[in-house]
Amino acid sequence: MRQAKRDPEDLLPLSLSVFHILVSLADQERHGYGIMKETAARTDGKVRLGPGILYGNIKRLIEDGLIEASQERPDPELDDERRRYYRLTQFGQRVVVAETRRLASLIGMARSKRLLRDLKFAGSRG
Amino acid sequence: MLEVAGDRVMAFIEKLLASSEHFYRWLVKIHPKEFRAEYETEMVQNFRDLCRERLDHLSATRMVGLWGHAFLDLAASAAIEHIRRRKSMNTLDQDLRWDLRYGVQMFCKHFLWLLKYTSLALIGGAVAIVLAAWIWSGVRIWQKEKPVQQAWAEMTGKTPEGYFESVLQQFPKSGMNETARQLEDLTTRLGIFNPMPNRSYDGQRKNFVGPFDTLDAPVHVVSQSRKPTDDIDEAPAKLQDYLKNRRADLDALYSLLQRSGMPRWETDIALLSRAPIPALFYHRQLQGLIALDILERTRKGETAAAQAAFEVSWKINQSLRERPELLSQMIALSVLELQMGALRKMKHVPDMWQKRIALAAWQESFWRAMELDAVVLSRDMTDTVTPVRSARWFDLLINSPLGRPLRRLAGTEMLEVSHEALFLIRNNSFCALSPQLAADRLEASRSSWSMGTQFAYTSYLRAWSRMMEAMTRLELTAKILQAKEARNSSTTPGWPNQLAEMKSLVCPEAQWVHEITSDGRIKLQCLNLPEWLRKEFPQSVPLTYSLKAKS
Repeated sequence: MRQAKRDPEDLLPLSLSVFHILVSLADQERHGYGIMKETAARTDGKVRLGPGILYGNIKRLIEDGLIEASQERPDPELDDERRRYYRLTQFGQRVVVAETRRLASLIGMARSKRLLRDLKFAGSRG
Repeated sequence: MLEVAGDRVMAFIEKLLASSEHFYRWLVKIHPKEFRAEYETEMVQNFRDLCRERLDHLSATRMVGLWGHAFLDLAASAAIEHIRRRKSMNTLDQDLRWDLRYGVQMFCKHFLWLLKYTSLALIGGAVAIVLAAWIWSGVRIWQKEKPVQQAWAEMTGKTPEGYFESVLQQFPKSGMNETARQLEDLTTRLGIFNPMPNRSYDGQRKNFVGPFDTLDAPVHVVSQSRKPTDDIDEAPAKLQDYLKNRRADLDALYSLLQRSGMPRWETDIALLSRAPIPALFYHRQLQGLIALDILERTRKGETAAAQAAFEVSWKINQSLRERPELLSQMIALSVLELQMGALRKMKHVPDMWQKRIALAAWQESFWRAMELDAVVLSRDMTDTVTPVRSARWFDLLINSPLGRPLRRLAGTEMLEVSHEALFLIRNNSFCALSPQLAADRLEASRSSWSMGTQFAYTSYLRAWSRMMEAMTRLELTAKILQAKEARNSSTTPGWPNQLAEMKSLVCPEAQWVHEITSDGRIKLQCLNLPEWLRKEFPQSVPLTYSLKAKS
């Protein structure tokens, strides 16, 4: 009820760490180590979340209602029972989408100024 | 061999892993307690996984990189969590600890700054309180003043202001007359002088001299007056010696009062509570001495001399009764006890003396004195020209312009409760309504903020109950004189069957009865006196007296 009234725009822009945590949880529930691994893999090791920064952000994301600890385990047989899994809330989903749109619009602006040619090239090389 | 080497490597890796985990767990403790309680296990677990991952590659460089990253990560996250924790302290304990610590630091660092703002806060608070009191007083005055004045006018026929003016006209400022001056000289020679307080002129004797510690005439007179017969005990030797040795001075005093008018002491009602008032000890001792002389002369059969002394006593006390203030009336009542004790023992009393002890006149003068006292006390509070000197530290406020509404309100409430007390006394049979019941009723209606209002009504109720007690003794004396007159005018021995006017004027419920006893005496008795009177004045009640028949 309280979340429904909140505007995702109020939380933008997100910090890099927070954005990556939310993106990690966008497709599935993950535990802390899973988030760290997925982020590192997705960014070719350029973004490495340490445990301290990771759980500090998880704490505040839970407090802000963007993520929540999950009661279910995606695959209990394969996993350590002591790990906690986290997932996006609806509000968290809206926030990460809003942030993505914001970044996309920035990219659109950069493209309109023809600034992305080199970036495209750099991207295609990587 | 390779297997052994592999085991050693694995043991080393496990040892390194355990040590790293242990050290990391130790480092994690720099985070806030609440944060660690929630995430320490997961953080250590994650670090262990990261370590294992690196060690799987057996890369020293990667391990160093991991630790470098771990140090930076822990330092940054610990700093962030501590800052956030401090900002979001939301428990009372944390708040208090934080506030106290902050307060002490601030106090040490910025003592003068704190002193300045603390002083400003205190002054601001005081100003706010005074302003609130000022506004509150103003509203209360607006609500009360007019109704109180109207109620007073309904009771007395005059507004409080008009009432005071009329008394001022009736009793203008006056000094001491010659008779009173000479009386003071003679009482000084008799050793019982005590000056009146608040004298309004110079040149008066200031020092109190009196034989009260070794000689107390009123005590003997009171003990004789409480004997329910005409019998008089011989006075103690010390008192008889005193009368004998001071006879010349005492006769000179009688002579002065017989040839002069009434003594008049200074009066200045405009001074309100600072007005000159009579000295209780002086009058009671002087009147006790005269009453002692009357009793001794009566005992010795010197009736004419006793009557002459009584005339003098009456004249002095009448001067007090004619004064307007309540204290004079109270002293006159105190003296009346001595006078009545002596009068009822006298064998022959002129007819006109019975009229002197008319009840209504006493009640009326007492009543007027209480009314004036109420107005004076109220004016004393309201009078903003004369500073109040009694309230010590409160003087500064109460005498300032800000204190004026408070004084005016106090005066109004004083008059209000005084009016209620006097109205209650006048419109009730006071014999039926005990002072305690009346006090309870007034206590329920009075304003709780002012102590003065309680003083006002309790003093009036107490004064009035003393008045009632004195009046019952006065009535007993009147009945004794009445019986004596009937006995003396009878042409036959014994007592007449009926005595006229045996109703009680003090208490409508009470009744005077008489009976002829077997030894031929007549016994006078007052029945149905109220219980509160018996409790308050057990020595005066029951009122009985026994007289011998005409032989």
